[in-house]
Amino acid sequence: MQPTMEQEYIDDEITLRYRYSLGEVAGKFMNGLREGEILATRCSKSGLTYLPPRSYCERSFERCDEWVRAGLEGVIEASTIVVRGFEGKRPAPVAIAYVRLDGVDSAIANYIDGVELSDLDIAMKTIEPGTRVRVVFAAKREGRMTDFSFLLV
Amino acid sequence: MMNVHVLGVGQVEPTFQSGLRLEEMAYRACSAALKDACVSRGELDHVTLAACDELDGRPISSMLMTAPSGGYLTDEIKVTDNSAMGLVLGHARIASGDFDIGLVVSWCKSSKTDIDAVMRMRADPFYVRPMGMDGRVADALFAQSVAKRHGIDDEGLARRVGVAYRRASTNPRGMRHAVPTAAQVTSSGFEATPLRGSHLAPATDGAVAMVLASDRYLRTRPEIRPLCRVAGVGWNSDSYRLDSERLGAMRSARRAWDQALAAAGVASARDLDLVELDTPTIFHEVAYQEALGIADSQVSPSGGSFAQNPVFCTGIVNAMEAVLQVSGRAGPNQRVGARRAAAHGCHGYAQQGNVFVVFEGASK
Repeated sequence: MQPTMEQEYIDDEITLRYRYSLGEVAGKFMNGLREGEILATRCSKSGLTYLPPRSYCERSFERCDEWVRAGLEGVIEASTIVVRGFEGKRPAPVAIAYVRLDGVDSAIANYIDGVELSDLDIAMKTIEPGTRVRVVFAAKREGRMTDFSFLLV
Repeated sequence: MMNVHVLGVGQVEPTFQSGLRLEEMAYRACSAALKDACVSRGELDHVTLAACDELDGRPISSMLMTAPSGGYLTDEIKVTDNSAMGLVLGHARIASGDFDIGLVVSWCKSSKTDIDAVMRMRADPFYVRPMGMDGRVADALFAQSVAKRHGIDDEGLARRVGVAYRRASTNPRGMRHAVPTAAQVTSSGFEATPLRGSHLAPATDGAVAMVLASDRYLRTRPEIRPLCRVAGVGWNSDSYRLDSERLGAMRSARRAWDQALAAAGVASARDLDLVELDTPTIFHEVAYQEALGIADSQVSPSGGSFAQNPVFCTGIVNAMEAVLQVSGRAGPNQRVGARRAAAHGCHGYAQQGNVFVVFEGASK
């Protein structure tokens, strides 16, 4: 029997599991989160302090040779409220920001909690760059980025 | 260094969802480019592929894609940053003097899988993937930086979106999308603030191939008249970070641009007739224009990404459009007397990497 309609597509799904080594730096950072502290690395040659911590300095290309505790307050450098197409740990809408914590030279991303998101125009202004935030740790911590978030100061 | 010339271009007609498989798309684009160039496959001494394995849906897709790209028993190499980088590699191979006649080909079926999921996979698994970082979130962070830096508002963005679609509306090689009204743009919902759905260039499927040749090859085929010369190339990659310094500086774009213009002996944007820009969102158009000093009248006569946007492949689409312009074959979108044009491709979160290629047509 002749097919009545030509088949156009074949669907497929590939599932792979990965085991990512945390390496010499991210592991220490994640352990720090469990202890309620945020650890950054510093390169004595360039003087730059990296958060998220890096094992190397992208400017000097030397190993970062020092650990420092980042401040638990900082300033928003970039922010957005994700409304659609989001597959993070939380259902949209969520506020996300890159924040430069006091004492470090780069910004780290995380959720901003406690932002009223019913009016996006107002919410955008609430979290615009230059706004100060503080770190708040989860009561139960598991050594993941989601162990902390930001709150408006 | 050997001069590199473009002899022919070919494309597969863009669609939202092509029913062709990748091999068919590559074969059609390459065949069209070879025909345009009056070159046979057997003459090729190399092919350069540019494609994204995750979007292709199979790793090392070159195993299957080399032959339909004219590469059977031929030197083949592949790049995975963006299609314009493939053009840069193809250029380098001939400029080195090691090769004389080759194809550069790129394809992308944006419809094939979930692009956002692919972009999430590119996020480092420790620090940003848990937040759901993907291309649109990165573009939104970039958009905020651009809006703040250049003081653009919703109305200004809507006007720009309309202009971009109007440029694209007459391009016979593009999708000829309907031109949205300003009200339609400003009322479209946010993807991630301040980026609205209407600010995004719609993703499409497509493929483009280009035949490149050396001076040495042209001396053996005096009957062939090249479309143009590749006058200069430049590429650069910035930090993976997305803080305000990185988002606002446009460093890799400026460096790639400067490198390409210097190689072409061009002092500034004023010395170009046009620039075909890779603009995943309308905010990118603003940012590139401001950073590189590109006038409104020089921006993407083809409509750029708003004409067709086969994501990974958009850079080489821009290159094709620039080649058609400087060879006087751009049709309804032709800029009268266009002789020197730049094409752009970008890749990575908030365009971490940028590529520019300058094409120069024959003196008129």
